[in-house]
Amino acid sequence: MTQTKALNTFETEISENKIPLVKVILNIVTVTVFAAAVIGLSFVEGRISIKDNQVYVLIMGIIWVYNIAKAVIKKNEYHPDIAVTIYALFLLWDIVFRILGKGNPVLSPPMERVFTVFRDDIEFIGEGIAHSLMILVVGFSIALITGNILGMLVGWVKRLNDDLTPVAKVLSPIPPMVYTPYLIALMPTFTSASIAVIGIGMFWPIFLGMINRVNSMNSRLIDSAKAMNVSTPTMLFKVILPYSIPSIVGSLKIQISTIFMILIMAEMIGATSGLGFFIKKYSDYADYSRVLAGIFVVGTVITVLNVLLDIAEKKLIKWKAV
Amino acid sequence: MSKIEFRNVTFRYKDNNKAVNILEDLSFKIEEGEFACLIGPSGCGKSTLVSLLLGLQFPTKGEILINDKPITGPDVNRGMVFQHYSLFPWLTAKKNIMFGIREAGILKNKKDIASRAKEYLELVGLADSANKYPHELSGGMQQRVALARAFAMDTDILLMDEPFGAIDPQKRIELQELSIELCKKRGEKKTVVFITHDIDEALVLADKVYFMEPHKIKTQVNVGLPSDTTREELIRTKRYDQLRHELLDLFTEVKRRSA
Repeated sequence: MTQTKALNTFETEISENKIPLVKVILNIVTVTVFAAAVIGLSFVEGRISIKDNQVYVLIMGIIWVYNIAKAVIKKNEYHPDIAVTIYALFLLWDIVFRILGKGNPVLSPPMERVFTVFRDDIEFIGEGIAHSLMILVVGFSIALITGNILGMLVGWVKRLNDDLTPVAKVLSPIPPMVYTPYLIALMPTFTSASIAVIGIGMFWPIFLGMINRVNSMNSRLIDSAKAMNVSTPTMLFKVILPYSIPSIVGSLKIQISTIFMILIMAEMIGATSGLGFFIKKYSDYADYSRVLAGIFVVGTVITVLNVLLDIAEKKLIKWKAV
Repeated sequence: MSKIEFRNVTFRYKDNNKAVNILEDLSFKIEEGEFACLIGPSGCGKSTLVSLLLGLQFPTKGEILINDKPITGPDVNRGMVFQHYSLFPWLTAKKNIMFGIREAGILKNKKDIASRAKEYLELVGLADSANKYPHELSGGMQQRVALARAFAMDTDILLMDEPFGAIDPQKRIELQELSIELCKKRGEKKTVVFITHDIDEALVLADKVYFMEPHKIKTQVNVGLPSDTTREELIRTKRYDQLRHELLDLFTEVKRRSA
């Protein structure tokens, strides 16, 4: 009896350890096969000749190393799906456009050439990122501070709520694209114009979101605060604001993509630097390797910002609603 | 002078253009230092009465006086423990109590506030949970913190709206005893208005029980049970038994009439 029991635990131990190990190895093999195919293919001459595949190989290699490390460390929680998707798309692109030579070589440049842009134009791209981020941070901070503070006030004071919410509902749906050209003409510099576009464009959703949050806030907490006879500033900044922080940060993650949309659009209209300007300039010259490189950079920047927001959210917000 | 006086208080609200009567021409007094329990079937207007006392709502007619002055809104002379968890979820247990002390305005120095908060956490037996957030505490523990917050604010009057209604019986007894202890701890006796629908809870805690039927107070019962006996002895006295039956009869009567 005891023997079978011991045997049983022994068996479960094996199976519990065995499955992750098999899975980890399988994940590593899958990622490696795809990485090898992508990198290997970039050395094969097709209809379009290879110029310089160093950067392409390097970045594909970095993706491989990152995924292998993650597969080993996270074991069961790692899934190779994202890496496989990325590799598969590059493989497909390379096979169709470079090896088989389908499509127009100007519109669909080989990936190794797109990636070479990252090295050749690193300064230009770096400046663009810095400029775009500066506009984004300043404009968004203005929208966040004014939107949330005014939203709290309007949500809390019944009279303001009744009078101003209908006005806000008329003004807020106007798309920023409508007044962007006007603001660019109106403001002294392009930078101040883009800050204004982002500030106004993001103000409305943040403002209305905050009014909504105040109106739908748990009445027990409001009563509990009222029972302690708190002043209006205490109610706003020490009760309603801290209660709203998680939801403000949550919507920030959605807003990040909207802001980039507004920013890139504004930059495409009248900027002299920035990521949107980079893309616009080279599409005017029909230099689509640079256009594609610019698109990749925008995607990467948004992803990095989202990851940073996730980390900040986990570190800063330790409480949960009861 | 009574501590709290209801003078011909009527409260009604409009629902779909139909006036709903909650309280009708209600008059009664609660004396200083009294532990008053309001008991009655659900829907009789107990919670409305507390919300009026707190100053969150105002009577349609009549007035409520505290120290002979009509209520104009929430005030720091009244503390409150709600039935449902009313702690701020973004503050730790200790910081929740500190918030209350700061709002009560009894201390200014942050250090003093923190040490008073700590003292009351120890009193309710939660010294170890000072830095825990409400979601990390059980329902009973959260109510302990709410009790600690209300008592640490050291208000003249304490209002409690079924504070232990959602807590299991064993924990509820512990919390009742804790409330008695905390009330006694203060030199002068606190005036408490405690709402419950539990007869035993009312008898164990109260000096006077007010039985409410819909819209008004039907009877006032002076409990007059010895205060220096243990709970076990108390519930075996004849007086306790007699009061218990009296209140049970009142419940049955109200039920029969509404049926």
